[in-house]
Amino acid sequence: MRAVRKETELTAERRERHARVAQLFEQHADFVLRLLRRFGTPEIECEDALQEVFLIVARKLAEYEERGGMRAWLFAIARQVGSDARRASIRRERRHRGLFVFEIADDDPHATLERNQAVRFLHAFLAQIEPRQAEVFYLAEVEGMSAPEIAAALEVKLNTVYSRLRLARERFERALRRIGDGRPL
Amino acid sequence: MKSLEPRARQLLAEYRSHGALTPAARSRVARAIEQRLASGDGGSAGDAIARGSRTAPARAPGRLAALTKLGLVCLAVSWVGLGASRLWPAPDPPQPAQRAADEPPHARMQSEIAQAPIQPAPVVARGAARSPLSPRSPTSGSAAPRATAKPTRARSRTHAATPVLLPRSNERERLPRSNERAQIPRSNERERVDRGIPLAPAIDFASPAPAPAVPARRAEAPSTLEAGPPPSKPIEEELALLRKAHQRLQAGDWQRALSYLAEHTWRFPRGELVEARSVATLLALCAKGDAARARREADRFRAAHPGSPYAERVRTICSP
Repeated sequence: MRAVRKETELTAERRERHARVAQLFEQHADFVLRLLRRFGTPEIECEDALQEVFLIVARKLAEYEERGGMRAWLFAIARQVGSDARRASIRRERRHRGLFVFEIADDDPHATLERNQAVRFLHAFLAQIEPRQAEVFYLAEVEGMSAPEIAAALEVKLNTVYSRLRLARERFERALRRIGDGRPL
Repeated sequence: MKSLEPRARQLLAEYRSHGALTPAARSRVARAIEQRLASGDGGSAGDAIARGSRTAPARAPGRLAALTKLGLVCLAVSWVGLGASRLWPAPDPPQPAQRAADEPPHARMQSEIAQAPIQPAPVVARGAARSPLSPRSPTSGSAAPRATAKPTRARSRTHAATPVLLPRSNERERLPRSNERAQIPRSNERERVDRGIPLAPAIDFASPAPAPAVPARRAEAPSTLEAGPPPSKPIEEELALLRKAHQRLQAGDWQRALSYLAEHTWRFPRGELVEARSVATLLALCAKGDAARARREADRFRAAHPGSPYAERVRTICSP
């Protein structure tokens, strides 16, 4: 009888954990997917990598501490999984260039022309500026992470985040103005 | 710190909306995770991955039996729920398992919204309506434009093998969302960015009628970088669904549009954007070619909401 009750409790605890994971997936799936791509996960691997991220979340949820926030934590897991999904040689190379991979994407036939322009522009911009600035800019402006979250995710000082972000923003607006003037990026 | 110009923010929003999970992919991954968790995979897989291994973990014995039990219980519960619900009247109900097998959830919702009055009754069985890992919009895999070629790889193969036994997305209990949400504060900045909607113009509701006030107000939120992790809010999810519906409508895909609208109806029967949903549904009916019904429903809408900002748009619905 006691064994039965224990099993029921266990199931309830598991169900709760699964529900929490489901909620996190719903909230953050797109965020994690974009990060996985940024970490260089090949497109064909992305769905599996996404699964893996949330399975790790499920497993480590109990140990999770609200230090840098949920997204900083997801960032760390996505970084690990994304790295696994990429060849080691490329990973070594990237270590010198910053974490993210910004490649100019092919046109997506399903996207609107306008969005393509935005995507191409931003990819080109991020590929061109200093990689560490690009990371911070991406996390802040595209993913909407807060500066403390970014500091936790990248393991850098808060002030570093702010200064990188400020520089990147200035460049971004300059690049936008140049585009407006019809000049190259 | 100085915030970005509106143009810059709009461009970022466009960039953000690129490459999001398709509803089909979302549904597929959510289901795969759910299955792997249900099979006790979460722990071992997590360990394996944490160690850098990418091999499929060993299956727990008795997993199939447990899945069967769980699936049957869920089907039974949901069937009771569905029977009580006005949303899905079943004149000739087949066996639950059979029905689960031969009708995808989005098809059911879609036919429902096509039949239902524009202002539907609240869902009675709301509590039994959503899976913990339910996708934003259950959609068939074949409909996914960006679906990868391998929806069920080795690690998620149970999905293909046991479709009937597994609980379906819309038949499980709903998450305790409001509670968990309340635990995490968030700032304006994060809300703005998280919703992933273009900042200005906020939403093109494909009509001259004004968009709801919420996105417009949000669009003006300054881009300050302050702390606070963000859960998504119901209004954001509502917006996301309606935005997708309008995107599909603009692409001429009224079927998918209706399925998004059905999902909205189902998840937010008394949502804040019910009127916007009604208008979108009318537009979808027009696109479908059912102008007579659209006009009939439009009249009902105008009678029900005489002061609605959409009233004028609705008056001329389906006219070229």
